[in-house]
Amino acid sequence: MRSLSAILPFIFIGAVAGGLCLEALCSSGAAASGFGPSPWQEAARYMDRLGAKLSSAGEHAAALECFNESLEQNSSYADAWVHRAGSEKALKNYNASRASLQKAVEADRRNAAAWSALADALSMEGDYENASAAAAELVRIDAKNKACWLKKGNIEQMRGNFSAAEADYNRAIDIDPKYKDALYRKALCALHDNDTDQALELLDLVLTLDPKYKQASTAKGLALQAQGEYEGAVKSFDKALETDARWTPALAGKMNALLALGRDREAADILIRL
Amino acid sequence: MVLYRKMNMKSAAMLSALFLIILLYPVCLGEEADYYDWKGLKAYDAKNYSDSIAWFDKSIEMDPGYIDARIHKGRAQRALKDYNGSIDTYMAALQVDRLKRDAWSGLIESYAALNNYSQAAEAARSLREIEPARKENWLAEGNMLQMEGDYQEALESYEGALRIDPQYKEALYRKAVSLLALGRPEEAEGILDQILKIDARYKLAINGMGLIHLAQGEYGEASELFENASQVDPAWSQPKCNMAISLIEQQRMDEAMKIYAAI
Repeated sequence: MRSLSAILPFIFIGAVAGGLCLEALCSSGAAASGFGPSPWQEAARYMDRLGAKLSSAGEHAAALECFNESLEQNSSYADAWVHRAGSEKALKNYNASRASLQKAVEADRRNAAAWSALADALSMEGDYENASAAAAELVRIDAKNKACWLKKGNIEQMRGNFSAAEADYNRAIDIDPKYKDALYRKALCALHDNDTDQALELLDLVLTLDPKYKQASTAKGLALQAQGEYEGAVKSFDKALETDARWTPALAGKMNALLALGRDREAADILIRL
Repeated sequence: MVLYRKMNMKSAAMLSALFLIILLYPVCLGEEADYYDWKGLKAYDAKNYSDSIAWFDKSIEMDPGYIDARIHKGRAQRALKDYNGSIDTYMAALQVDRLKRDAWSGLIESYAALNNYSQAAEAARSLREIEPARKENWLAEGNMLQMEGDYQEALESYEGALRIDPQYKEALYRKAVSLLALGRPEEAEGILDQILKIDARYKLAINGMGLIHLAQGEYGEASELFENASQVDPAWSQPKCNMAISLIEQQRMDEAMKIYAAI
Protein backbone atom coordinates (compact mmCIF):
# COMPACT_ATOMS: atom_id res chain seq x y z
CA MET A 1 0.00 0.00 0.00
CA ARG A 2 2.77 2.27 0.96
CA SER A 3 4.62 1.72 -2.31
CA LEU A 4 1.39 2.34 -4.31
CA SER A 5 0.78 5.68 -2.60
CA ALA A 6 4.38 6.59 -3.35
CA ILE A 7 4.04 6.02 -7.10
CA LEU A 8 0.48 7.51 -7.39
CA PRO A 9 1.67 11.07 -8.10
CA PHE A 10 3.91 9.76 -10.88
CA ILE A 11 1.01 7.86 -12.41
CA PHE A 12 -1.13 11.04 -12.29
CA ILE A 13 1.56 13.20 -13.88
CA GLY A 14 2.13 10.60 -16.55
CA ALA A 15 -1.56 10.42 -17.33
CA VAL A 16 -1.85 14.19 -17.64
CA ALA A 17 1.24 14.43 -19.84
CA GLY A 18 0.02 11.58 -22.01
CA GLY A 19 -3.37 13.21 -22.36
CA LEU A 20 -1.81 16.49 -23.40
CA CYS A 21 0.41 14.79 -25.98
CA LEU A 22 -2.58 12.93 -27.36
CA GLU A 23 -4.59 16.13 -27.60
CA ALA A 24 -1.76 17.87 -29.40
CA LEU A 25 -1.42 14.97 -31.82
CA CYS A 26 -5.15 14.90 -32.43
CA SER A 27 -5.40 18.62 -33.05
CA SER A 28 -2.49 18.67 -35.48
CA GLY A 29 -3.93 15.66 -37.20
CA ALA A 30 -7.32 17.35 -37.39
CA ALA A 31 -5.78 20.48 -38.82
CA ALA A 32 -3.83 18.48 -41.36
CA SER A 33 -6.88 16.55 -42.40
CA GLY A 34 -9.04 19.75 -42.58
CA PHE A 35 -11.25 19.02 -39.62
CA GLY A 36 -10.48 22.20 -37.65
CA PRO A 37 -8.15 25.14 -37.33
CA SER A 38 -4.62 24.70 -36.14
CA PRO A 39 -3.41 26.53 -33.01
CA TRP A 40 -1.53 29.11 -35.15
CA GLN A 41 -4.66 29.70 -37.20
CA GLU A 42 -6.59 30.19 -33.98
CA ALA A 43 -3.93 32.59 -32.74
CA ALA A 44 -4.10 34.53 -36.01
CA ARG A 45 -7.88 34.80 -35.73
CA TYR A 46 -7.68 35.84 -32.11
CA MET A 47 -5.20 38.63 -32.89
CA ASP A 48 -7.29 39.72 -35.88
CA ARG A 49 -10.42 39.93 -33.71
CA LEU A 50 -8.49 41.90 -31.10
CA GLY A 51 -7.21 44.25 -33.79
CA ALA A 52 -10.73 44.72 -35.16
CA LYS A 53 -11.95 45.67 -31.68
CA LEU A 54 -9.15 48.20 -31.25
CA SER A 55 -9.79 49.54 -34.71
CA SER A 56 -13.47 50.15 -34.00
CA ALA A 57 -12.40 51.96 -30.82
CA GLY A 58 -10.24 54.23 -33.01
CA GLU A 59 -6.95 52.76 -31.72
CA HIS A 60 -5.51 52.25 -35.17
CA ALA A 61 -1.82 52.08 -34.25
CA ALA A 62 -2.47 49.39 -31.63
CA ALA A 63 -4.83 47.61 -34.02
CA LEU A 64 -2.11 47.58 -36.65
CA GLU A 65 0.22 45.78 -34.26
CA CYS A 66 -2.43 43.12 -33.66
CA PHE A 67 -2.99 42.64 -37.38
CA ASN A 68 0.77 42.35 -37.91
CA GLU A 69 0.90 39.74 -35.16
CA SER A 70 -2.01 37.91 -36.76
CA LEU A 71 -0.27 37.91 -40.13
CA GLU A 72 2.95 36.69 -38.55
CA GLN A 73 1.00 33.65 -37.38
CA ASN A 74 -0.74 33.19 -40.70
CA SER A 75 0.44 35.27 -43.64
CA SER A 76 -2.29 33.91 -45.91
CA TYR A 77 -5.09 35.17 -43.67
CA ALA A 78 -6.88 37.50 -46.12
CA ASP A 79 -9.26 39.06 -43.58
CA ALA A 80 -6.33 40.25 -41.46
CA TRP A 81 -4.78 41.85 -44.57
CA VAL A 82 -8.08 43.62 -45.28
CA HIS A 83 -8.37 44.82 -41.70
CA ARG A 84 -4.73 45.87 -41.70
CA ALA A 85 -5.42 47.92 -44.83
CA GLY A 86 -8.28 49.63 -43.00
CA SER A 87 -6.00 50.67 -40.15
CA GLU A 88 -3.29 51.84 -42.53
CA LYS A 89 -5.89 53.93 -44.35
CA ALA A 90 -7.11 55.41 -41.07
CA LEU A 91 -3.49 56.33 -40.31
CA LYS A 92 -3.30 57.92 -43.79
CA ASN A 93 -0.69 55.40 -44.98
CA TYR A 94 -2.44 55.00 -48.31
CA ASN A 95 0.33 53.16 -50.15
CA ALA A 96 0.69 50.65 -47.31
CA SER A 97 -3.08 50.24 -47.25
CA ARG A 98 -3.22 49.46 -50.97
CA ALA A 99 -0.26 47.06 -50.63
CA SER A 100 -2.13 45.20 -47.85
CA LEU A 101 -5.20 44.87 -50.04
CA GLN A 102 -3.09 43.48 -52.85
CA LYS A 103 -1.73 40.90 -50.39
CA ALA A 104 -5.32 40.13 -49.36
CA VAL A 105 -6.45 39.36 -52.89
CA GLU A 106 -3.30 37.30 -53.48
CA ALA A 107 -4.11 35.31 -50.34
CA ASP A 108 -7.74 34.78 -51.31
CA ARG A 109 -8.79 35.49 -54.88
CA ARG A 110 -12.46 35.13 -53.90
CA ASN A 111 -12.50 37.61 -51.03
CA ALA A 112 -15.14 40.16 -52.09
CA ALA A 113 -14.35 42.56 -49.25
CA ALA A 114 -10.72 42.68 -50.36
CA TRP A 115 -11.57 43.38 -54.02
CA SER A 116 -14.12 46.01 -52.98
CA ALA A 117 -11.64 47.84 -50.75
CA LEU A 118 -8.93 47.54 -53.40
CA ALA A 119 -11.24 49.06 -56.02
CA ASP A 120 -11.94 51.95 -53.63
CA ALA A 121 -8.25 52.47 -52.84
CA LEU A 122 -7.24 52.51 -56.50
CA SER A 123 -10.15 54.79 -57.35
CA MET A 124 -9.09 57.19 -54.60
CA GLU A 125 -5.61 57.29 -56.11
CA GLY A 126 -7.15 58.12 -59.48
CA ASP A 127 -5.98 54.79 -60.94
CA TYR A 128 -9.37 54.10 -62.54
CA GLU A 129 -7.94 51.55 -64.97
CA ASN A 130 -6.89 49.15 -62.22
CA ALA A 131 -9.84 50.14 -60.04
CA SER A 132 -12.11 49.04 -62.87
CA ALA A 133 -10.29 45.68 -63.10
CA ALA A 134 -10.68 45.18 -59.34
CA ALA A 135 -14.39 46.06 -59.56
CA ALA A 136 -14.75 43.56 -62.42
CA GLU A 137 -13.35 40.84 -60.14
CA LEU A 138 -15.74 41.98 -57.43
CA VAL A 139 -18.86 41.61 -59.58
CA ARG A 140 -17.60 38.23 -60.84
CA ILE A 141 -17.45 36.98 -57.23
CA ASP A 142 -20.61 38.68 -55.94
CA ALA A 143 -22.82 39.19 -58.99
CA LYS A 144 -26.05 39.26 -56.99
CA ASN A 145 -24.96 42.22 -54.89
CA LYS A 146 -26.39 45.50 -56.22
CA ALA A 147 -23.77 47.56 -54.34
CA CYS A 148 -20.98 45.81 -56.26
CA TRP A 149 -22.54 46.81 -59.59
CA LEU A 150 -23.00 50.37 -58.36
CA LYS A 151 -19.35 50.52 -57.32
CA LYS A 152 -18.23 49.25 -60.71
CA GLY A 153 -20.54 51.71 -62.46
CA ASN A 154 -19.22 54.62 -60.45
CA ILE A 155 -15.64 53.73 -61.32
CA GLU A 156 -16.56 53.50 -65.01
CA GLN A 157 -18.24 56.91 -64.72
CA MET A 158 -15.14 58.38 -63.09
CA ARG A 159 -13.13 56.92 -65.98
CA GLY A 160 -15.43 58.71 -68.38
CA ASN A 161 -16.77 55.41 -69.72
CA PHE A 162 -20.46 56.29 -69.42
CA SER A 163 -21.84 53.48 -71.61
CA ALA A 164 -20.13 50.81 -69.48
CA ALA A 165 -21.30 52.64 -66.36
CA GLU A 166 -24.89 52.62 -67.59
CA ALA A 167 -24.73 48.87 -68.21
CA ASP A 168 -23.52 48.36 -64.63
CA TYR A 169 -26.25 50.58 -63.20
CA ASN A 170 -28.80 48.62 -65.20
CA ARG A 171 -27.54 45.40 -63.56
CA ALA A 172 -27.93 47.03 -60.14
CA ILE A 173 -31.43 48.28 -61.00
CA ASP A 174 -32.38 44.78 -62.26
CA ILE A 175 -31.60 43.51 -58.77
CA ASP A 176 -33.44 46.38 -57.05
CA PRO A 177 -35.63 48.61 -59.27
CA LYS A 178 -35.89 51.16 -56.44
CA TYR A 179 -32.15 51.46 -55.93
CA LYS A 180 -31.96 55.27 -55.82
CA ASP A 181 -28.15 55.58 -55.96
CA ALA A 182 -28.03 53.56 -59.19
CA LEU A 183 -31.05 55.42 -60.63
CA TYR A 184 -29.37 58.77 -59.87
CA ARG A 185 -26.11 57.70 -61.45
CA LYS A 186 -27.95 56.34 -64.47
CA ALA A 187 -29.58 59.79 -64.83
CA LEU A 188 -26.08 61.30 -65.07
CA CYS A 189 -25.40 58.86 -67.91
CA ALA A 190 -28.56 60.08 -69.65
CA LEU A 191 -27.43 63.69 -69.20
CA HIS A 192 -24.05 62.72 -70.64
CA ASP A 193 -25.90 61.43 -73.72
CA ASN A 194 -27.85 64.72 -73.86
CA ASP A 195 -31.07 62.82 -73.15
CA THR A 196 -32.43 65.34 -70.66
CA ASP A 197 -35.96 63.91 -70.83
CA GLN A 198 -34.83 60.46 -69.68
CA ALA A 199 -32.60 62.06 -67.06
CA LEU A 200 -35.53 64.06 -65.68
CA GLU A 201 -37.70 60.93 -65.61
CA LEU A 202 -35.08 59.02 -63.62
CA LEU A 203 -34.41 61.94 -61.27
CA ASP A 204 -38.12 62.38 -60.59
CA LEU A 205 -38.29 58.69 -59.73
CA VAL A 206 -35.38 59.10 -57.28
CA LEU A 207 -37.06 62.14 -55.73
CA THR A 208 -40.32 60.21 -55.35
CA LEU A 209 -38.39 57.53 -53.48
CA ASP A 210 -36.45 60.09 -51.43
CA PRO A 211 -37.45 63.76 -51.67
CA LYS A 212 -34.34 64.73 -49.69
CA TYR A 213 -31.88 63.25 -52.19
CA LYS A 214 -29.95 66.49 -52.73
CA GLN A 215 -27.78 65.15 -55.55
CA ALA A 216 -30.90 64.25 -57.56
CA SER A 217 -32.46 67.71 -57.02
CA THR A 218 -29.21 69.35 -58.11
CA ALA A 219 -28.90 67.15 -61.21
CA LYS A 220 -32.53 67.96 -62.03
CA GLY A 221 -31.62 71.64 -61.84
CA LEU A 222 -28.78 71.06 -64.28
CA ALA A 223 -31.06 69.12 -66.66
CA LEU A 224 -33.59 71.97 -66.61
CA GLN A 225 -30.79 74.48 -67.13
CA ALA A 226 -29.70 72.47 -70.19
CA GLN A 227 -33.26 72.83 -71.49
CA GLY A 228 -33.09 76.60 -70.86
CA GLU A 229 -35.68 76.42 -68.06
CA TYR A 230 -33.86 78.61 -65.57
CA GLU A 231 -36.83 79.31 -63.28
CA GLY A 232 -37.46 75.57 -62.87
CA ALA A 233 -33.73 75.04 -62.35
CA VAL A 234 -33.69 77.60 -59.51
CA LYS A 235 -36.59 75.73 -57.84
CA SER A 236 -34.75 72.43 -58.09
CA PHE A 237 -31.55 73.90 -56.66
CA ASP A 238 -33.61 75.39 -53.85
CA LYS A 239 -35.04 71.93 -53.14
CA ALA A 240 -31.48 70.58 -52.76
CA LEU A 241 -30.58 73.52 -50.53
CA GLU A 242 -33.54 72.75 -48.25
CA THR A 243 -31.71 69.51 -47.42
CA ASP A 244 -28.24 71.01 -47.26
CA ALA A 245 -27.96 74.80 -47.29
CA ARG A 246 -24.20 74.67 -47.92
CA TRP A 247 -24.20 72.16 -50.82
CA THR A 248 -21.76 73.80 -53.27
CA PRO A 249 -23.04 72.20 -56.54
CA ALA A 250 -26.58 73.44 -55.78
CA LEU A 251 -25.35 76.89 -54.72
CA ALA A 252 -23.17 77.21 -57.82
CA GLY A 253 -26.03 75.98 -60.03
CA LYS A 254 -28.51 78.42 -58.51
CA MET A 255 -26.05 81.31 -58.75
CA ASN A 256 -25.49 80.68 -62.45
CA ALA A 257 -29.21 80.26 -63.16
CA LEU A 258 -29.88 83.58 -61.37
CA LEU A 259 -27.17 85.28 -63.41
CA ALA A 260 -28.76 83.88 -66.59
CA LEU A 261 -32.09 85.34 -65.41
CA GLY A 262 -30.43 88.73 -64.82
CA ARG A 263 -31.01 88.47 -61.07
CA ASP A 264 -27.45 89.61 -60.32
CA ARG A 265 -28.11 90.80 -56.78
CA GLU A 266 -29.42 87.38 -55.66
CA ALA A 267 -26.49 85.74 -57.45
CA ALA A 268 -24.08 88.00 -55.55
CA ASP A 269 -25.81 87.03 -52.28
CA ILE A 270 -24.79 83.43 -53.00
CA LEU A 271 -21.30 84.31 -54.23
CA ILE A 272 -20.34 85.99 -50.96
CA ARG A 273 -21.56 82.97 -48.99
CA LEU A 274 -19.83 80.32 -51.11
CA MET B 1 7.83 103.26 29.91
CA VAL B 2 9.48 100.12 28.53
CA LEU B 3 6.07 98.46 28.39
CA TYR B 4 4.66 101.48 26.59
CA ARG B 5 7.54 101.42 24.10
CA LYS B 6 7.06 97.68 23.58
CA MET B 7 3.32 98.14 22.97
CA ASN B 8 4.03 100.95 20.55
CA MET B 9 6.47 98.82 18.62
CA LYS B 10 3.95 95.98 18.55
CA SER B 11 1.21 98.28 17.26
CA ALA B 12 3.55 99.72 14.67
CA ALA B 13 4.44 96.22 13.47
CA MET B 14 0.79 95.23 13.31
CA LEU B 15 -0.10 98.42 11.49
CA SER B 16 2.71 97.83 9.01
CA ALA B 17 1.51 94.26 8.43
CA LEU B 18 -2.05 95.48 7.88
CA PHE B 19 -0.81 98.16 5.52
CA LEU B 20 1.16 95.57 3.59
CA ILE B 21 -1.86 93.27 3.38
CA ILE B 22 -4.03 96.11 2.10
CA LEU B 23 -1.35 97.06 -0.39
CA LEU B 24 -0.65 93.54 -1.65
CA TYR B 25 -4.21 92.21 -1.64
CA PRO B 26 -5.17 93.52 -5.09
CA VAL B 27 -1.78 92.43 -6.45
CA CYS B 28 -2.40 88.91 -5.17
CA LEU B 29 -5.93 88.91 -6.60
CA GLY B 30 -4.56 90.10 -9.92
CA GLU B 31 -1.97 87.33 -9.90
CA GLU B 32 -4.71 84.82 -9.14
CA ALA B 33 -6.90 86.19 -11.93
CA ASP B 34 -3.97 85.84 -14.30
CA TYR B 35 -3.35 82.29 -13.09
CA TYR B 36 -6.99 81.23 -13.59
CA ASP B 37 -7.02 82.84 -17.02
CA TRP B 38 -3.90 80.85 -17.90
CA LYS B 39 -5.58 77.66 -16.66
CA GLY B 40 -8.60 78.52 -18.80
CA LEU B 41 -6.44 79.02 -21.85
CA LYS B 42 -4.82 75.63 -21.28
CA ALA B 43 -8.25 73.98 -21.08
CA TYR B 44 -9.31 75.89 -24.21
CA ASP B 45 -6.26 74.64 -26.11
CA ALA B 46 -7.20 71.11 -25.04
CA LYS B 47 -10.71 71.83 -26.42
CA ASN B 48 -12.27 71.49 -22.96
CA TYR B 49 -14.38 74.56 -23.54
CA SER B 50 -16.77 74.11 -20.59
CA ASP B 51 -13.83 73.71 -18.21
CA SER B 52 -12.11 76.72 -19.72
CA ILE B 53 -15.22 78.85 -19.14
CA ALA B 54 -15.25 77.79 -15.47
CA TRP B 55 -11.61 78.95 -15.15
CA PHE B 56 -12.30 82.23 -16.93
CA ASP B 57 -15.26 82.82 -14.59
CA LYS B 58 -12.97 82.30 -11.60
CA SER B 59 -10.52 84.74 -13.10
CA ILE B 60 -13.28 87.34 -13.63
CA GLU B 61 -14.50 86.72 -10.08
CA MET B 62 -11.01 87.45 -8.76
CA ASP B 63 -10.66 90.59 -10.85
CA PRO B 64 -13.79 91.89 -12.61
CA GLY B 65 -11.64 94.39 -14.46
CA TYR B 66 -9.47 91.70 -16.06
CA ILE B 67 -10.70 92.10 -19.64
CA ASP B 68 -8.60 89.34 -21.25
CA ALA B 69 -10.45 86.67 -19.26
CA ARG B 70 -13.76 88.04 -20.54
CA ILE B 71 -12.54 87.97 -24.14
CA HIS B 72 -11.21 84.44 -23.73
CA LYS B 73 -14.52 83.40 -22.17
CA GLY B 74 -16.42 84.86 -25.13
CA ARG B 75 -14.24 82.87 -27.51
CA ALA B 76 -14.85 79.64 -25.55
CA GLN B 77 -18.60 80.32 -25.62
CA ARG B 78 -18.42 80.74 -29.37
CA ALA B 79 -16.59 77.42 -29.61
CA LEU B 80 -19.58 75.89 -27.79
CA LYS B 81 -21.92 77.74 -30.19
CA ASP B 82 -23.35 79.72 -27.27
CA TYR B 83 -23.41 82.89 -29.36
CA ASN B 84 -25.92 84.77 -27.19
CA GLY B 85 -23.78 84.03 -24.13
CA SER B 86 -20.66 85.24 -25.94
CA ILE B 87 -22.43 88.48 -26.94
CA ASP B 88 -23.21 89.16 -23.25
CA THR B 89 -19.59 88.43 -22.35
CA TYR B 90 -18.19 90.77 -25.03
CA MET B 91 -20.65 93.48 -23.99
CA ALA B 92 -19.43 93.17 -20.40
CA ALA B 93 -15.84 93.37 -21.65
CA LEU B 94 -16.65 96.56 -23.55
CA GLN B 95 -18.07 98.07 -20.38
CA VAL B 96 -14.61 97.59 -18.88
CA ASP B 97 -12.81 98.96 -21.92
CA ARG B 98 -14.83 100.50 -24.74
CA LEU B 99 -11.79 100.55 -27.03
CA LYS B 100 -10.85 96.86 -26.80
CA ARG B 101 -10.49 95.62 -30.39
CA ASP B 102 -10.71 91.89 -29.59
CA ALA B 103 -14.04 92.38 -27.85
CA TRP B 104 -15.49 94.18 -30.88
CA SER B 105 -14.11 91.52 -33.25
CA GLY B 106 -15.62 88.75 -31.14
CA LEU B 107 -18.92 90.59 -31.05
CA ILE B 108 -18.97 90.90 -34.87
CA GLU B 109 -18.31 87.17 -35.25
CA SER B 110 -20.99 86.23 -32.71
CA TYR B 111 -23.64 88.37 -34.40
CA ALA B 112 -22.61 87.00 -37.82
CA ALA B 113 -22.90 83.43 -36.49
CA LEU B 114 -26.47 84.25 -35.49
CA ASN B 115 -27.07 85.71 -38.99
CA ASN B 116 -27.78 89.02 -37.28
CA TYR B 117 -25.87 91.02 -39.85
CA SER B 118 -27.40 94.37 -38.98
CA GLN B 119 -25.97 94.18 -35.43
CA ALA B 120 -22.74 92.71 -36.82
CA ALA B 121 -22.45 95.67 -39.20
CA GLU B 122 -23.17 98.04 -36.32
CA ALA B 123 -20.39 96.48 -34.24
CA ALA B 124 -18.05 96.58 -37.25
CA ARG B 125 -18.82 100.27 -37.70
CA SER B 126 -17.95 100.94 -34.04
CA LEU B 127 -14.65 99.12 -34.43
CA ARG B 128 -13.86 101.03 -37.61
CA GLU B 129 -14.62 104.33 -35.84
CA ILE B 130 -12.26 103.37 -33.00
CA GLU B 131 -9.45 102.37 -35.36
CA PRO B 132 -10.04 104.06 -38.72
CA ALA B 133 -6.43 103.55 -39.82
CA ARG B 134 -6.79 99.74 -39.94
CA LYS B 135 -7.87 98.62 -43.42
CA GLU B 136 -9.17 95.31 -41.99
CA ASN B 137 -11.81 97.22 -40.02
CA TRP B 138 -13.16 98.83 -43.18
CA LEU B 139 -13.21 95.43 -44.90
CA ALA B 140 -15.05 93.80 -41.98
CA GLU B 141 -17.65 96.57 -42.01
CA GLY B 142 -18.12 96.21 -45.76
CA ASN B 143 -18.44 92.43 -45.53
CA MET B 144 -21.12 92.65 -42.84
CA LEU B 145 -23.01 95.25 -44.88
CA GLN B 146 -22.85 92.93 -47.89
CA MET B 147 -24.14 90.04 -45.83
CA GLU B 148 -26.98 92.31 -44.74
CA GLY B 149 -27.68 92.96 -48.42
CA ASP B 150 -26.59 96.61 -48.40
CA TYR B 151 -24.22 96.50 -51.38
CA GLN B 152 -24.21 100.27 -51.94
CA GLU B 153 -23.10 101.15 -48.42
CA ALA B 154 -20.60 98.26 -48.48
CA LEU B 155 -19.04 99.87 -51.52
CA GLU B 156 -18.24 102.95 -49.41
CA SER B 157 -16.56 100.79 -46.74
CA TYR B 158 -14.37 99.10 -49.36
CA GLU B 159 -13.45 102.53 -50.71
CA GLY B 160 -12.32 103.38 -47.17
CA ALA B 161 -10.09 100.29 -47.06
CA LEU B 162 -8.69 101.07 -50.50
CA ARG B 163 -7.82 104.64 -49.48
CA ILE B 164 -5.46 103.05 -46.93
CA ASP B 165 -4.14 100.37 -49.30
CA PRO B 166 -5.09 100.70 -52.99
CA GLN B 167 -3.77 97.18 -53.68
CA TYR B 168 -5.82 95.49 -50.96
CA LYS B 169 -7.00 92.41 -52.90
CA GLU B 170 -9.70 91.31 -50.49
CA ALA B 171 -11.34 94.75 -50.53
CA LEU B 172 -11.01 95.00 -54.32
CA TYR B 173 -12.68 91.60 -54.75
CA ARG B 174 -15.55 92.49 -52.44
CA LYS B 175 -15.93 95.82 -54.22
CA ALA B 176 -16.25 93.89 -57.50
CA VAL B 177 -18.97 91.69 -55.95
CA SER B 178 -20.85 94.82 -54.83
CA LEU B 179 -20.62 96.25 -58.33
CA LEU B 180 -21.90 92.97 -59.78
CA ALA B 181 -24.83 92.99 -57.34
CA LEU B 182 -25.61 96.58 -58.26
CA GLY B 183 -25.86 95.63 -61.95
CA ARG B 184 -22.52 97.13 -62.98
CA PRO B 185 -20.71 94.03 -64.35
CA GLU B 186 -18.36 96.02 -66.64
CA GLU B 187 -16.98 97.93 -63.65
CA ALA B 188 -16.75 94.68 -61.66
CA GLU B 189 -14.76 93.14 -64.50
CA GLY B 190 -12.37 96.10 -64.46
CA ILE B 191 -11.76 95.67 -60.72
CA LEU B 192 -11.21 91.91 -61.08
CA ASP B 193 -8.76 92.62 -63.87
CA GLN B 194 -6.96 95.02 -61.52
CA ILE B 195 -6.69 92.25 -58.86
CA LEU B 196 -5.29 89.77 -61.37
CA LYS B 197 -2.58 92.28 -62.28
CA ILE B 198 -1.63 92.40 -58.59
CA ASP B 199 -1.92 88.63 -58.09
CA ALA B 200 -2.55 86.42 -61.11
CA ARG B 201 -3.30 83.43 -58.84
CA TYR B 202 -6.03 85.10 -56.75
CA LYS B 203 -8.58 82.32 -57.21
CA LEU B 204 -11.67 84.28 -56.15
CA ALA B 205 -10.98 86.91 -58.79
CA ILE B 206 -10.34 84.29 -61.49
CA ASN B 207 -13.58 82.49 -60.64
CA GLY B 208 -15.49 85.80 -60.41
CA MET B 209 -14.21 86.86 -63.81
CA GLY B 210 -15.35 83.48 -65.17
CA LEU B 211 -18.85 84.07 -63.79
CA ILE B 212 -19.09 87.47 -65.48
CA HIS B 213 -18.06 85.96 -68.82
CA LEU B 214 -20.50 83.08 -68.31
CA ALA B 215 -23.38 85.50 -67.62
CA GLN B 216 -22.44 87.38 -70.81
CA GLY B 217 -22.50 84.16 -72.84
CA GLU B 218 -18.75 84.21 -73.41
CA TYR B 219 -18.39 80.51 -72.68
CA GLY B 220 -14.90 79.93 -74.09
CA GLU B 221 -13.37 82.64 -71.88
CA ALA B 222 -15.45 81.50 -68.91
CA SER B 223 -14.32 77.87 -69.25
CA GLU B 224 -10.69 78.91 -69.51
CA LEU B 225 -10.96 81.00 -66.34
CA PHE B 226 -12.68 78.22 -64.38
CA GLU B 227 -9.96 75.85 -65.54
CA ASN B 228 -7.33 78.31 -64.27
CA ALA B 229 -9.09 78.65 -60.91
CA SER B 230 -9.16 74.85 -60.59
CA GLN B 231 -5.45 74.68 -61.32
CA VAL B 232 -4.73 77.23 -58.57
CA ASP B 233 -6.75 75.18 -56.07
CA PRO B 234 -7.55 71.65 -57.29
CA ALA B 235 -9.55 70.88 -54.13
CA TRP B 236 -11.93 73.83 -54.65
CA SER B 237 -15.19 72.49 -56.09
CA GLN B 238 -16.82 75.80 -57.03
CA PRO B 239 -14.95 76.44 -60.30
CA LYS B 240 -15.49 72.78 -61.27
CA CYS B 241 -19.25 73.22 -60.81
CA ASN B 242 -19.11 76.47 -62.79
CA MET B 243 -17.10 74.74 -65.52
CA ALA B 244 -19.73 71.99 -65.78
CA ILE B 245 -22.46 74.64 -66.05
CA SER B 246 -20.51 76.52 -68.70
CA LEU B 247 -20.29 73.31 -70.73
CA ILE B 248 -24.02 72.60 -70.18
CA GLU B 249 -24.81 76.08 -71.55
CA GLN B 250 -22.83 75.10 -74.65
CA GLN B 251 -24.77 71.78 -74.83
CA ARG B 252 -21.46 69.94 -74.40
CA MET B 253 -23.20 67.54 -72.04
CA ASP B 254 -20.69 64.71 -72.33
CA GLU B 255 -17.81 66.91 -71.17
CA ALA B 256 -19.97 68.56 -68.51
CA MET B 257 -20.98 65.23 -66.98
CA LYS B 258 -17.39 63.94 -66.98
CA ILE B 259 -16.54 66.87 -64.71
CA TYR B 260 -19.74 66.80 -62.69
CA ALA B 261 -19.67 63.04 -61.97
CA ALA B 262 -16.19 63.42 -60.49
CA ILE B 263 -17.08 66.31 -58.12
